[in-house]
Amino acid sequence: MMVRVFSVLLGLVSSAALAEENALLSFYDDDQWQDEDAFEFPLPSVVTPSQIPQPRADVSSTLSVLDGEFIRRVNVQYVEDLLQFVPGFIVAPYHNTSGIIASYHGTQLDRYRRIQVLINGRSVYSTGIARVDWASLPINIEDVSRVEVNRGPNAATYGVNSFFAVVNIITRSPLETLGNSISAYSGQRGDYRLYGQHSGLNEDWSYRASASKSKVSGFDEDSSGVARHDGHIRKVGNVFIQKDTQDSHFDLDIGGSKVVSKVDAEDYGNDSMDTNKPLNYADREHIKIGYSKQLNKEHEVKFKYYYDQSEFRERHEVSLSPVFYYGLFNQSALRAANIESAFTLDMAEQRHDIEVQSIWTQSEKLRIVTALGYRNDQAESDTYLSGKVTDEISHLSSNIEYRLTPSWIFNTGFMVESSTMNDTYFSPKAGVTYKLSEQEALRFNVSKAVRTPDIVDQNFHWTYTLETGDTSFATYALNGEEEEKVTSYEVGYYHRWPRLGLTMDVKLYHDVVTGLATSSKQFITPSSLSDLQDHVIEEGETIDVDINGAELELDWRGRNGAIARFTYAHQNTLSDDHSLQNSTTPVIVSLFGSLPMGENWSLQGYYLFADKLSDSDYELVNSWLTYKLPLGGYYKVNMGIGAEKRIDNNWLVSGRNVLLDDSYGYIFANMTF
Amino acid sequence: MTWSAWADIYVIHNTEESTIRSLTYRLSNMLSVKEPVVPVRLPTFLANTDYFKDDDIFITVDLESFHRICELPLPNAMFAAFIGKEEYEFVKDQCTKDTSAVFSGAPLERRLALLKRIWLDNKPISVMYSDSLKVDEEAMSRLGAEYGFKFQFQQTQTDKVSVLRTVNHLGENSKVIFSFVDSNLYREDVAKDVIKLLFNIHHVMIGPSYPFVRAGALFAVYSRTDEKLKRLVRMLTAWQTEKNMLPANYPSELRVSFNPYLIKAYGMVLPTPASIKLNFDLCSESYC
Repeated sequence: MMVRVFSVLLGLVSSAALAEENALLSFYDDDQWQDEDAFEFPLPSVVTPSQIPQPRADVSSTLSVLDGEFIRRVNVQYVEDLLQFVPGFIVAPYHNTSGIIASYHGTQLDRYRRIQVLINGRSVYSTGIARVDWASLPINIEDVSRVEVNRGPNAATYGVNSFFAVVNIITRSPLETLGNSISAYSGQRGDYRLYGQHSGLNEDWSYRASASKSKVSGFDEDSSGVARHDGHIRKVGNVFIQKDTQDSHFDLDIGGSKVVSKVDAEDYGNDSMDTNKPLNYADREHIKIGYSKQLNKEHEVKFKYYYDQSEFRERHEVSLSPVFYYGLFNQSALRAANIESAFTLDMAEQRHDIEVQSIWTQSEKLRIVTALGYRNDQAESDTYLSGKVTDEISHLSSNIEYRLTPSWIFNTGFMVESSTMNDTYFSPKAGVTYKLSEQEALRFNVSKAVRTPDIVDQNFHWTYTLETGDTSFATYALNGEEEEKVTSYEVGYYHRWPRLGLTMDVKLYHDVVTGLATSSKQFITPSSLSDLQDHVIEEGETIDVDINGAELELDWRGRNGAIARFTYAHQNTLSDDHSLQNSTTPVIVSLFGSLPMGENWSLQGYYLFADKLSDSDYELVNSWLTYKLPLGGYYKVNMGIGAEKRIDNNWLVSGRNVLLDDSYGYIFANMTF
Repeated sequence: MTWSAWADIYVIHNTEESTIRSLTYRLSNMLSVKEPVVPVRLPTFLANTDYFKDDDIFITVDLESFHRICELPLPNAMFAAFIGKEEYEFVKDQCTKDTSAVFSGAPLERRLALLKRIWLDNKPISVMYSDSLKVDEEAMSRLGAEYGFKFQFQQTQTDKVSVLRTVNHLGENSKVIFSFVDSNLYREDVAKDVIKLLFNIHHVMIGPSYPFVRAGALFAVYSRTDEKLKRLVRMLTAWQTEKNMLPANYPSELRVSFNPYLIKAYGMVLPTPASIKLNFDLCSESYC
């Protein structure tokens, strides 16, 4: 009976079966999907130079890539510290430990403003007071997948302020962090850091929630022996949700941070001073939505929107002498005694940014990325602006990769930006790569970029308002600043020896920088009774400078898991300006090594050297021993002990930054479960 | 158990009806002895085992069907197709009857030889597999060493989260996952997520079949369905005419497909199709 039924079925389906010659049997039927589009993802390559995924050897600008393996191994606690291992970068605190500067090619120490920083394509460069406020970035290093650093101007892709370099921080997909992990770090100085995350998966959706709390104890005293009121506590929280389908990707990134920093009490002279130990309270939050869709094999569109807001408040309780009070706050009569009051420094910044991008692969030879965007930057400050100022920026950009032959690749592009506060800017770049082989390339690149003045530069109206209601004379901007310009000429050579696990990159460059702003932005206190009036802030002071240099990067990955990374940067800054020279480091070296010793133990260490960083050499070593304890399955614990020692016997960057003991020990552990 | 004048061939499956119809049609056309080739769904088969004659021939086309029928105390000849060698050997150990198989995928040494030629990274090679496979890790390590590779093995549970966590775990020390035909592990949605994750962490998979390459594996050595059916027909003919059960093996003609996007991204230089044929005895798209 059964046989007969089956035979009838077989007869019925014969014609249909013919039409289904290539039908699906299972994922192991090798005739499957012959006629379907391939299931494609972005290439495992670099994305930063042109926002086009490109093999490393194809790019024509200079790129450093710090991958996940290196990031996990180097054991630094903060994202910005990774940049110490990129040629030409200096990472150090300036005014205090929460005021980290991460500078490339130097030229400035306080509130370094000449690199662009992106987290998952979201710019975290603040334009209220131009800077990258590293301490308040809502990101945990454990969540970082890789860091790509475009060492050179790239305003053609990322717009104004992508001046000397672009740092692109890419976080891990929740698929990479499935499960849970916790980690802890504790240092002898009282520094600590705690981190935890949970990642999960539901059908096409995946998510990660992570949080951390950390404390940096700060410097002990300044060079004259006065105790510092330094150090900060930071809390960071992040939720990242993504959905992947065969041809689309959606992500939602929400994060926030709170930083409480100790600030040194000020002495204003004239027997006037802070009477409290001020604290700076900084908050920062963001939400980002990204969506991309592969319309067909040739064309992908991306959309992103993000909102970022940050603010800080810093309350100073003050005791002001009658003379100081009379002069600064425009009083009609001298008081008999000191005035006890308080004022608050404040700044709130907001940004909306929306962009639509098209990536069109016209052929094997030609790919074009075109983007159209609008950004709204807003800054509000009673102290620095006496109100609210808005800047609106529209931009259009296009980057093209053209393969003339398999060996010759042209990368070119431009961006046009129009700012309501400043001007319209055109930033082009042109590069060519000659591939000597698939793993070896010579490159040439010319690019231009501008750094626009920040909102405060153009709209300074700096006053102090006491809680008594008294408002000081103002220091204000009259004409503002002009934009800075850089034209960079680069020649580079890249070579990877895969069997040896060795990668080498060399860059020679010549930067022509014009209009570098050197105005000292300081509040002007009336100096005499005849000077009781508002003042124009110092502005328009600029210099032109040429910078020549060479940079080398070597990265080695051993078969046994050993890693070595060496970077060297030499910079010749052709300027007599002392402050410029003082903030520029002629030679920077970093060396990192990690050596597995048996199944569970490994020894790591790094050495950093900077020649004449703020006139003083900077040199330190850090070494640690790690023990890996597998607990079965995905459960494992890493723990370790280490020590760091400064070996230069100098203060760090500034005479304010002195540690009584420049060596310390630390322990750390992390558990995955 | 019933008897009739001639033996029938039953293709037992637990997959799409239309797909299996196509397969049985192709198989019946290739057989010289024109006997009915009848598709039967596994649940139907299991509910009606009394209907089959002792000399009927069973062909299973998925792991579950092979596994379930293996356990039944039936005397029939049984051939497995669309099954991996390691899957087959795992089930065969628990089987109550003599069986043979046409393997999907390709012999390990053929895959390793090609991998050695194109994969230059010096890290260990990860091998992830489910508990439905019989993997001789020692023998495989020895073979790997002959080709200059060091393997790290990890057996995993097959739910998606476990599989992806295993990939992350293995990815800490390795940049490539070497995969077997493993139906319980690489279900279609899981396989795609594994490959997607490997892309995220800039690692690659050596796939066991062509669809994996389409999905994003670096390359796969495999046989086409027609080649598998040719091999199956040889086995059926030997059994029908001489009661000779040929040993389980791969089809004679194997081919290789590369993922051009990954080849480009990793800057690999592939041997020419002629060289692949000459040195590795593998067909490619343009040369066989």
